[in-house]
Amino acid sequence: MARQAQQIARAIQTLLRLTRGRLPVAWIVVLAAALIGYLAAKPYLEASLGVTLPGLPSESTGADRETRSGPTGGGRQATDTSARSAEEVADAAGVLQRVGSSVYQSPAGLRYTRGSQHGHRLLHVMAHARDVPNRPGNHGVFEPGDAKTVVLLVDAAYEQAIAGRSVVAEREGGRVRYDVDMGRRIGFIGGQSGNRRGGPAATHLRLVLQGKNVITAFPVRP
Amino acid sequence: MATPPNRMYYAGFCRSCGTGPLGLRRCGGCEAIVLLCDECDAVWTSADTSAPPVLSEDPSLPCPHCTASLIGPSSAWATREQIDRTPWLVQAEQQGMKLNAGEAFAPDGPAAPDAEPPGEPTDEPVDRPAAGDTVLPTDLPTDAGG
Repeated sequence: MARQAQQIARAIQTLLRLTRGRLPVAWIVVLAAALIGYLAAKPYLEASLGVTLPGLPSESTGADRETRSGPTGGGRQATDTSARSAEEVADAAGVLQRVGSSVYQSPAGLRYTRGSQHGHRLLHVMAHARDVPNRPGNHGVFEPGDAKTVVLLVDAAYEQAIAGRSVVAEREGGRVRYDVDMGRRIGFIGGQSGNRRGGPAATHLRLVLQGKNVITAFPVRP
Repeated sequence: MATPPNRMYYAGFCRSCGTGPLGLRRCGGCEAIVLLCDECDAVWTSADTSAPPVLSEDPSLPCPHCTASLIGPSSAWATREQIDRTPWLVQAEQQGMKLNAGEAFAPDGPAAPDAEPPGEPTDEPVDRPAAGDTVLPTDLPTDAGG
């Protein structure tokens, strides 16, 4: 949200610079209002329509900056969130709204809060944007693994789950675990077991929720 | 010997999320050892993982015994010596629970003040069940990622 506000402020400054003395004030006000409306609605339109809309030049490079080659070779892309705060990751995603102290809400209404051994659920989920080859068992890895793609993918899985489409749900003690068939490759299976099998593709997303709070989410093979 | 911050002993995998290794976590408050899922933070206080887990909504992940934080700086992955001093774990191993050492998902915080110098756990099983022993239902069941 802070990132969104910065983008709007930057856009207004650019608009004023380009139109000063060339357009009547009324036109500038109308253009500024239209621009603000577009930038404010852009994340929600992208989430609901499933498309990437054009933005400011600096916006489109945000995800690129945060991706780099993972440690497993093979040219796989991953996001390094190890040294970043939840706020930095939320800003990089550009689609999360801060709704409380260290609480971020996705366009679909899922909440990422403090918790987990990573310190924040957003960092925990984003730890699935890169392989951990020595982790025991299987480790699902999102691919591509930039924060915006992952957050919107989790949202899409959630919306598909509550609509009851291609989902298996299990409930226990206030938590629900969804296995959602996304119908396409969303990542691969890493970790010790996954890498022994050559990192097979994953088409399902496992989402564990406590109410609307995200506990964890990662790619799986059913 | 202490377990290095990113290494843990674990006893199979979590049936709640289906994927996370069940790390042996030593509480910094009461020194009890619990099974803590490395993925979804489900907690068991005994080797019977068919029982319902403790699923806390508190982000500090309170110990079921004393409410100290299981992810706070004084809590850590249990050492082999600490495991050997814990009656329920000794009994569970005698009944076939298999312990392995492996890499934790998230690096641990500062070691507990009373921790011993770093040790060298391996990825090999540290105690293999004898033939005919019952292995507790904590082994990875599926091809799921975690």
